[in-house]
Amino acid sequence: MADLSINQLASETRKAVLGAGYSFGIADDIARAVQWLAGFSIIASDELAEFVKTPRKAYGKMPIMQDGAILMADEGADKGLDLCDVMAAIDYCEAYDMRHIHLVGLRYPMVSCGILAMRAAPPFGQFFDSEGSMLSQICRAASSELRLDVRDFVPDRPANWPARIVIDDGAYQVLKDFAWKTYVPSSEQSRTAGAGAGLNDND
Amino acid sequence: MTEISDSKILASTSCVQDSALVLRAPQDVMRLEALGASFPHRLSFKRSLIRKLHDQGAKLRITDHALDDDGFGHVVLTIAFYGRDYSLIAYSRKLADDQRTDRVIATAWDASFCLFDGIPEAKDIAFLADEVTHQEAGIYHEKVMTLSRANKSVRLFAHVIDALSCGRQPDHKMIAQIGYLMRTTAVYGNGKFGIADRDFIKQHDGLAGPFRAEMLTVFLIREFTFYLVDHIAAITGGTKAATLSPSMRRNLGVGNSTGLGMAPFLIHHPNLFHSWILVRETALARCRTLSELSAEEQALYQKLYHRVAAHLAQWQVDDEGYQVTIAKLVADWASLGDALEGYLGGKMPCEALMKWAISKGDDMAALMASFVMEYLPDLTDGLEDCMTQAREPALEPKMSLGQLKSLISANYQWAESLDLSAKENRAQFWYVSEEKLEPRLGNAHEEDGQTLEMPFAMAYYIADLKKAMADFNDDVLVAELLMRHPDLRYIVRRIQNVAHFTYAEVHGNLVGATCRPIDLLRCKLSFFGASKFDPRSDRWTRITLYQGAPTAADLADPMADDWAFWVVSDADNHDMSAS
Repeated sequence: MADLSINQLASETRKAVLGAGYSFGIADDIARAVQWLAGFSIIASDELAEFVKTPRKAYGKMPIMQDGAILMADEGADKGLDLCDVMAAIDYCEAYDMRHIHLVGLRYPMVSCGILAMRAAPPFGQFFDSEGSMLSQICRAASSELRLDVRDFVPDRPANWPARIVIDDGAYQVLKDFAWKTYVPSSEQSRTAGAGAGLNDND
Repeated sequence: MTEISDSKILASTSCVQDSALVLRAPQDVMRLEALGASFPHRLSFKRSLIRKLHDQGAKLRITDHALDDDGFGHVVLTIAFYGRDYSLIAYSRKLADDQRTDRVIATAWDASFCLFDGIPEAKDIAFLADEVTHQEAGIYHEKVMTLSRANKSVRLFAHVIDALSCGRQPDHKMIAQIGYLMRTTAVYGNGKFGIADRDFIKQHDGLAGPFRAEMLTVFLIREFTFYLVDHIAAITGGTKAATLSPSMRRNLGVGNSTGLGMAPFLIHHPNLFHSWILVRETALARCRTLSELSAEEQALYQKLYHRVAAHLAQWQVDDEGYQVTIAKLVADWASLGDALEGYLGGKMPCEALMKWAISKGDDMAALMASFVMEYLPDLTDGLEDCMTQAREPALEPKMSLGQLKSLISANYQWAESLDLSAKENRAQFWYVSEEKLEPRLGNAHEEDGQTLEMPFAMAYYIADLKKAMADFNDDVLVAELLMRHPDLRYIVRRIQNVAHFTYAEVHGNLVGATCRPIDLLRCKLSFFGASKFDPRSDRWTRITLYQGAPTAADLADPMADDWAFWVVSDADNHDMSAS
């Protein structure tokens, strides 16, 4: 198992998502979601590894606005809602003052839950399930279907920030492999153009 | 100067709430040239740490030491702060000259350090020895709060050992010229390589301020360098050896070599950057509203004026362009001399001095801002507690594209006026190299790798956004745009964020041929409290931290905070006059 600081996991996640071909805004949202989840010691590394390994879809799925709710469903066997779909669904929910969201066929339920949580802020509010559970509770056993209501904002933060997070070695290696794709191979030109190159530091 | 009175700026942090103040406009202070002229000030992080250490009656003790006759081994320096012990574990190792480089790609150093939460046991010291000396390649746990390494200033280190072992104090002119026995080449925090997260560290009393744990680390490294030279000199010189005198210790800081790695931090943490600038600008604006200075305050400023003059005279660098700038500062500062008494004794003294300084250019304006803030603690102190920022940039999907366009027009004039077809405006790209993950700056027209650049080409992203928006009506919402163009999420969020965090964005093209990374480095370092900027190129500078600061032994001194614009002297006391 890999014993990590939470910032280390978030940083590696951001780079891995970039390395998988997503843009900075998307990578930021996912990294922040993972950081939030880790604050509650919720480990979503297997989902993350799966996400970065899956080729990016060319087009997102259009959210449907219906009776004051956002509905997004994709139940095809090899499809499902990916994390960009979830971001779009929340964007619509907030943009059009929808108070309910119904997501069916989530491929990455835990991380999706973290993305939903990161959007909670006044005046928009926060997502709860029908029993009034907050996302930090829902995330632990998130399923592929989420049916949530927007209610008043209540801070949902861990009482104490955990010191560490322990994740599966294999999943962490996947993140590191994809993160590596964001680094530029070194060349003699780049080495000699680096800050401090050619200086004598024995002064 | 265009000034603004924007309650939005002040509302962007719950800490600063003085909406009647008139702050300098982001279009003025966030220009690269203005950022690159920054000076440390009394709200800089090292200054606020020293005040906290003083207030807490912090005391240093050596809790373990195992140095051989050549000064190799380890030392543990422990300081109690807010009722809790923190220890610097310092590992000193022999280093061949051909391995001594300040670059990130180095793999060995004269000394390696970590700040340990508590007092380490022998097994902790033994375990960390092999990790800390390998820095980025080591394995860490949450007891390790920061990680750092340093190389000796070979010339000064040898000179100080020679002098002390012969029973003499070192040459103060050489100390004025170099300023430190060791220079750090990195100080890592916030969970890097598995050390403690900032969110975890800030739960510790006294360590919530930005870079507080890192600043404490450097303060203790300074103490280690004193311990090390005294130890080696005592072995070498035997009974005739001297120890570094209190005034010599005071004259010595810790050097730092800062490369490109520091600059991206400011772009990646826009709201934190905003908070730092907002606090500085708020403090300055408060001072500018002051109607008059007391006779006692005028006397303090008169004395400080001379100290600044002497400090500038001691600031000598090899870089010709920088030396020209310093020379102009020296001349302009001297020209203020006869008029100073009138300014200080007149109405609205700080306002008058700032107006005079702004007329001289960015460098003098920055220097004067630090000068006027120095002796008005009732107006400034406490604001340093507002320099953290928990709120990350947030997307506002409900905003219309018309509103988004208005924000671009209002806050990104510099980007809109840029000729995007000009080759020189897209001449550089920022990236991380595979080689030890060293941050680098590439030539966009000659080097590969631009597709992996860091997201700093704001003007170009705005152009992409405007092109995408052209297909929509102005009443369409951001959510609709992002549904079709999810990759614009980053720039849309930045633009929306600046509506609330007005100082969050640099007003300049970071990928243009004329962008000098050193401007960003200096700005950030000035908030750390760095002085004597000594550029080695436009992407690399050396600086000194804590030169003139009280040593651990001086922390109880009631004048412990009075060390801005320090002047190195050979007096064996704390007289900082321009003698």
